[in-house]
Amino acid sequence: MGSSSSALTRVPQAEQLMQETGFSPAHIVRLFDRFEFLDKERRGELRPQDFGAVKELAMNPIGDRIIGAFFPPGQETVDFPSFVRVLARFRPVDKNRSRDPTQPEPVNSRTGKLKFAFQLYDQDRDGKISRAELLQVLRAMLGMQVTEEQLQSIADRAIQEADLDQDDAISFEEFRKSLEKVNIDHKMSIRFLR
Amino acid sequence: MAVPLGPVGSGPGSSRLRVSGFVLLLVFVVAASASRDLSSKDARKNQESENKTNSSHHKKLFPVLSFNYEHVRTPFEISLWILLALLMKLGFHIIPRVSGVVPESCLLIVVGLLVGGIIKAIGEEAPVLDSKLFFLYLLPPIILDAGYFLPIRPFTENMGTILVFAVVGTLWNAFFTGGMMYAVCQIEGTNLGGVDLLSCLLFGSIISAVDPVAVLAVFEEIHINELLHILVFGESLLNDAVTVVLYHLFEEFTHAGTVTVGDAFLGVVCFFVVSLGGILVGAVYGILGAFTSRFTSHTRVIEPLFVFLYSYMAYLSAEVFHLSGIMSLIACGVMMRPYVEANISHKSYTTIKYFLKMWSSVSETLIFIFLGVSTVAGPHTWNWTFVVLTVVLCLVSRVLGVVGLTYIINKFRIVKLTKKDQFIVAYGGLRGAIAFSLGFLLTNHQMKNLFLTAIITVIFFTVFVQGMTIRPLVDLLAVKKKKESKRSINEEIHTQFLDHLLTGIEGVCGHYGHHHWKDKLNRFNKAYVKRWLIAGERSTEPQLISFYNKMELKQAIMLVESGSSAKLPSALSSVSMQNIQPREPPSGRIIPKISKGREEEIRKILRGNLQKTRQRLRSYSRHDLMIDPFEDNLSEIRFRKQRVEMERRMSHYLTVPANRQEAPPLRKVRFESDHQVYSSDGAESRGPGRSPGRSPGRSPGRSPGRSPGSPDAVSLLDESSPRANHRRADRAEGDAEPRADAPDDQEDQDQLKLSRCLSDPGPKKDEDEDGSFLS
Repeated sequence: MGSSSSALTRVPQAEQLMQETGFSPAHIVRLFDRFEFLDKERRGELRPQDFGAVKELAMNPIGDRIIGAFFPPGQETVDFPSFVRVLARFRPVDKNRSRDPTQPEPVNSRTGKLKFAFQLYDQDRDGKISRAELLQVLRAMLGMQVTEEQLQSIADRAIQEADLDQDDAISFEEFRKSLEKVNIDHKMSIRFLR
Repeated sequence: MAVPLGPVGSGPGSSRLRVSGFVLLLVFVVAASASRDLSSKDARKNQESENKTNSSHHKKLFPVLSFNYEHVRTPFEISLWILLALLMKLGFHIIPRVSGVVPESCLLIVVGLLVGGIIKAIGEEAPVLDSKLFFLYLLPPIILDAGYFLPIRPFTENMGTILVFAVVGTLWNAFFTGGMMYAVCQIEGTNLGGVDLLSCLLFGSIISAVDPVAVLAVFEEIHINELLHILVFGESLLNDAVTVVLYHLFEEFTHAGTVTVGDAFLGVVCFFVVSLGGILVGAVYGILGAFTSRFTSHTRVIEPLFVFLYSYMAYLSAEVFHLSGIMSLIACGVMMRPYVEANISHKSYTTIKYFLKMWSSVSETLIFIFLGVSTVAGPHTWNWTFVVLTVVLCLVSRVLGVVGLTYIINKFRIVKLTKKDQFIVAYGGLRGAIAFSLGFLLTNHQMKNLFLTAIITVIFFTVFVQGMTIRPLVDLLAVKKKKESKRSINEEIHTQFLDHLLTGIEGVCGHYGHHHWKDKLNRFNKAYVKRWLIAGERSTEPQLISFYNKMELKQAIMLVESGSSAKLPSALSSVSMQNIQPREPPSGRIIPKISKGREEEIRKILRGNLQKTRQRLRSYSRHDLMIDPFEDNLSEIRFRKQRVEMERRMSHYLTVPANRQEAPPLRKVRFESDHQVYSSDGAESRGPGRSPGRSPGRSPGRSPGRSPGSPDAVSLLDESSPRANHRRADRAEGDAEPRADAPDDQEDQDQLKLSRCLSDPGPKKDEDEDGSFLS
């Protein structure tokens, strides 16, 4: 890949990004290459259509949500630093991170990852996953293969199981609790991003 | 023979009883083996008397009672041994203190030692753990049980680590142990000079493999967290290929005498052939099994047999070619399971589960007992240096291997293995009966006895010392335990969601990782494989739905079995009712609300009628006992409770949505697995709508003796409801004639009546019922 320091100079705000997200220089360069690959028109920023080039997202049932997660609400484009910041959440957790209460929790901690996933469910950002939102997700994932009533039953049962404060919606805490047995650190980390 | 095992109590009297029970058992066993002698003498005597009678033409009296043991000897002895093993197992669980401290495997070996000792003391020849018996009959059930129920997700997630431990770890163990043994043997003072390098390496390869049977036996009791369990257990399963190759390799070499580089290279090739070939054989049989299960919807009873036989054939076929039988068995089970489970009925699934657990439990018990017996029986050559050295080397090489490999592996793992994890993995490397059998298989090797002694010592050491101390160590080190919990539907939904998410992110990064390939495999599976291997509609059923159905079924069964009048999740039925109501025309689907008082009345009437019939029959029957009034009331209460339950389930049926609404699928429902209990309510809606005021017209020839209050009736609800729906479907389909009565289930009738009653509460109903009952 050539000497990383020279490649790093191409990347805007590389130092700051590295410090913020904890990526190594090699990773930053790699992500930048990927960014440039997606950004075919060399505009320095990505639009939703650029993400369409990725085949996997087209086939993915929640592909549109994932694309939407890259763009902060109201914005139509995403630049490289924001791109990296989103992907930083999927970095494997640092086991021996010093637990300094004054420092903000890094974005790739377990809570950070769960928050990201929660936001994908909670499209209207009211802090709760309502029945309708859950139904939307289920419909997207299960598609044409099930009837509406089955979806309703599943959604009912899911909310019933998770909803502890009986408000017919799943808050972040309830979401976190229902996933406490799943190894999120393992599940939501990409090995490449280390 | 009545073994006086009394009720569980801790008084001295009961423990004396148990001890005497054991002693009697042992005496019985000894008597059986001694009777072998007797019978042979008897046979000779019979022969002599035969000759005499022949020669003298003297008419023999007809033998009223004769003794012919030879006839049934083999099955008798086998059954006796198995019975002994199981009674021992039973005994251990009755004694509370011991089973908490000592793992069962140790106790069983001790029993084996005792029995072996007794048999030897009376001068009989003790049965040894024959290798053929072990490899062909005792080992497969355990491995199949392990493979069929292997938790796939953690296994595949940690596959890399497991493979490294299994292959590299075992190789390291074998060569290190063998090499060091040889080095020490060369030292002058130990008079072990006769042990050459190849023999040492052979010995190393036998002793190096972690044994799945021993690991299972010990780890199952300590409930350690899933990651560690799957690491040690997966390693013990996958190292079979390495062991097989090394063993055959070195055995050939010791016979040949010399080794060349070409041979070594062939050895490596052989390894790949053995492991991949074994997996291939297993996969082929697995697919065959899955394909066969697609067609078994009409012959549900033999479904479990297909699973067992295909798996066993996979094992045997692999053994024919000297491929790894264990890997073949695992591959077969893993391959077959998702498709077979989608095809077979719930009962077959339960049968398979219980038979596998049963057989593996029996096998394990027998293995350990025989190990004990063989220890006493076998010829031993004790050499202090050799044996102690073996034990020490095994430990050292294991620890070194694990630590070294973990250091390398952790560079590639997302979730790293901590020092605690490493310790448990190293400490859990138990050796067991496979090592012993392999040693036993050595043919005319002059060091065989020496090796066998050492192997047995290592096995004893690992099973006793390591097996007993691992539990307190796990507690001491505060290793994470397994969390006993059921999977919730939330977990399932979110896990799938996260899978999709990660696949998408990997796509964005341009990285073809774990999730990408998993997703591709899933798509392939869904598009092609499932269509071929799963029968009917289930092939397009997404995993989430099957999971949801299974959960609902389990919950319903639980509720019925507990017999409580607990409501089914009322939110569920009420909310789904809300959902359905706006859509559907009120076509009699919805149960109109009737007052509590009315319900009570109806129930009272039903109960009264049924009681009347029972009383009536009682006066007829000559063989009737005087029924205890208290018992009568009890069954009444239970009956009432179960009726309430049935009612609720009925209301659940009517509100949980069906898959389709048209008539043709109803026919399918009849033959489909019991899973589909819930999706057949279309017919029920027609039933009540159709027949107000129509007398059931059944002849009272049914046998209400089988009161619906019996638990059988309720547990048969699963079966009867498809049949009930079948009847109702027939009715709905225009069968206007009241059927001449088959000796049919009364609950069938009652369900129908219930639905009719609830939809249509008219006083004339009573007369109808009265009339039908009492006519």
